[in-house]
Amino acid sequence: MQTQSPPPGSRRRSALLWLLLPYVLFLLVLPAVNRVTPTVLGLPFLFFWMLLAILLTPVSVWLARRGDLRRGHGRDGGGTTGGCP
Amino acid sequence: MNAAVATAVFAAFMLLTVVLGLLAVRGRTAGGGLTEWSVGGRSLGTVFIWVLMAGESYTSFSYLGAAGWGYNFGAPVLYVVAYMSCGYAVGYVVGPMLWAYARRHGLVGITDIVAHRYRRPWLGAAVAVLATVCLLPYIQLQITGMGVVVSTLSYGTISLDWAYFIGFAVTTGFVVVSGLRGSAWVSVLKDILVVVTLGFLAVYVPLHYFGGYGPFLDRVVAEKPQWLTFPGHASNGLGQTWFVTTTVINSLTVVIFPTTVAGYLGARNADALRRNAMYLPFYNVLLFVPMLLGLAALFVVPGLTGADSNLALFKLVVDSLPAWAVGVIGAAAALSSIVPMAVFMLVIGTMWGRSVLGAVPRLASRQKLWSQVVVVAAGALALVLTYTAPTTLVRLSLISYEGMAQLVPMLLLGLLWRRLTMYAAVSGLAAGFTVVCVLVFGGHDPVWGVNAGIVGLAVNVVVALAVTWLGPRERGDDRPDAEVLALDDEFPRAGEAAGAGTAEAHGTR
Repeated sequence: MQTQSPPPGSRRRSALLWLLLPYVLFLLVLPAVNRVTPTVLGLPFLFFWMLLAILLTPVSVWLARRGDLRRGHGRDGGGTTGGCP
Repeated sequence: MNAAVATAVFAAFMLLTVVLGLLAVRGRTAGGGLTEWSVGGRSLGTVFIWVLMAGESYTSFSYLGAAGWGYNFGAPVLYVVAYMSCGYAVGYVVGPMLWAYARRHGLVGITDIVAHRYRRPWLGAAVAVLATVCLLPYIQLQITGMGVVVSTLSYGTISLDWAYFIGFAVTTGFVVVSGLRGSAWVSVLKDILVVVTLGFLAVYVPLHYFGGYGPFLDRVVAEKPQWLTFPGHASNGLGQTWFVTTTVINSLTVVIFPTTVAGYLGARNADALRRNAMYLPFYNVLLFVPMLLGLAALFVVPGLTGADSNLALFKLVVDSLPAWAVGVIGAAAALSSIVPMAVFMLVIGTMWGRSVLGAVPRLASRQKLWSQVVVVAAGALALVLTYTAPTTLVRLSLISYEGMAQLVPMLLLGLLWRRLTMYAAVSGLAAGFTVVCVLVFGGHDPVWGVNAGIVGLAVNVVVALAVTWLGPRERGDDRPDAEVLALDDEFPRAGEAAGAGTAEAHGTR
């Protein structure tokens, strides 16, 4: 059995921590947002917050992806450069 | 008259569904083999993957259960959007990982992945049986969901029994021939219908019954505040702890759920999956509509109980809209059963064709044929059980998701950690599954406010770790780590966006 080398790029993929953001928004802050008032745009606060969390989830994935792209591993959009620097 | 119009519109859409499903494979049928049928030849681009994965996750539950939970309990229904959103974020990592692993080793599903990882074909077969037990109830839920919708929206002219059969027939009609690709094509029709009809209902219902969103929401806040925070109205233990634990375990389970994985493996490249992790969460906004309409139904059709509360949304529809619109909305709801049902059946077929029957040497050469046979058999079995013993599968469905969750360590931990032995993974799975069965069938879910599945998962992991450290070592597996584990995540390299043909599996230049 060969010695295990770290997965490619694992040390530098700290941007993946952004993927925990939905858990924070939906779960960690729940005790604070579990309320009817204040209503926002007429929505009870909990429902407004959940809607906001849904809309922020793509943002957190985008941030993770941006971090991945910046590792220089890939050039989005089919650039002509040769992958790893 | 109303019934004739609604039924005609509905029938036209069902016909269109089958035609569309069959057209999907025009010119492709020859020699595609199991990979073509099960995972669309790994050739679906970002848009098709989006449509397919949105399509399969938005099931009949979304129309019926989401409105029904909103109507009965209120806030606890939010767990659906929470776990799906978190699941998409996790899928950003897991999707490309499984895709790359399956592609490199020519695998078509989770049973195949397990058999390869632990180098035990029988383990793949065992997981296939277990997963089938967990999936069959979902087929029945789709069949019955479709049944009540079709029956309601045809103003009762189509009987429940016929509606069940139509669901089975339409689904089988295209999925046997066209597999995952056909499901993706039908998903296009489904998503268009769902977006249009829910968008319309979101505006129309509050206007029609309350004079607008402001008055509707004001009334909910003033009169039904109990529904608007956890633990909701009379929800019997569905409090904040339940919400948090359920969201955590479901968001981990959804990424290894066999139907999700079928979608992953159908992707043309890993980046299509990464993009989708970004775009798919937007679809969850749509789930807000049935939830809110369920709350609206509290004022319009109060007093629904039991299974009737699942029809909260459709009572409003039939009550307030002309027949042709009822037919269109019925078609949208029916397709929300048909697409997931198609993928469930496809996945069961694939698991059996590949890992159970395919493991028998004498049958191995006809894997696709066997898969197609099993699709019909599984669908027919679910249909027959719906007629004859409806409660059996309903009881089983209680453990479906939490049972499937017990595969997470075997699959995900196994693909990342070489030391996890087969003995450990199997012991963990058995222990976790047993705990779930005991708790759920003993009526202890949630247990102390905690989702029973996460209790099972905790036991599962502890047992797996203990057996790994204390139990027998894995012998004779001298394959290198790169062969066994999912280490290379195939992050896109230059030229990747050009599409198909990125066959390079390892290696950085």
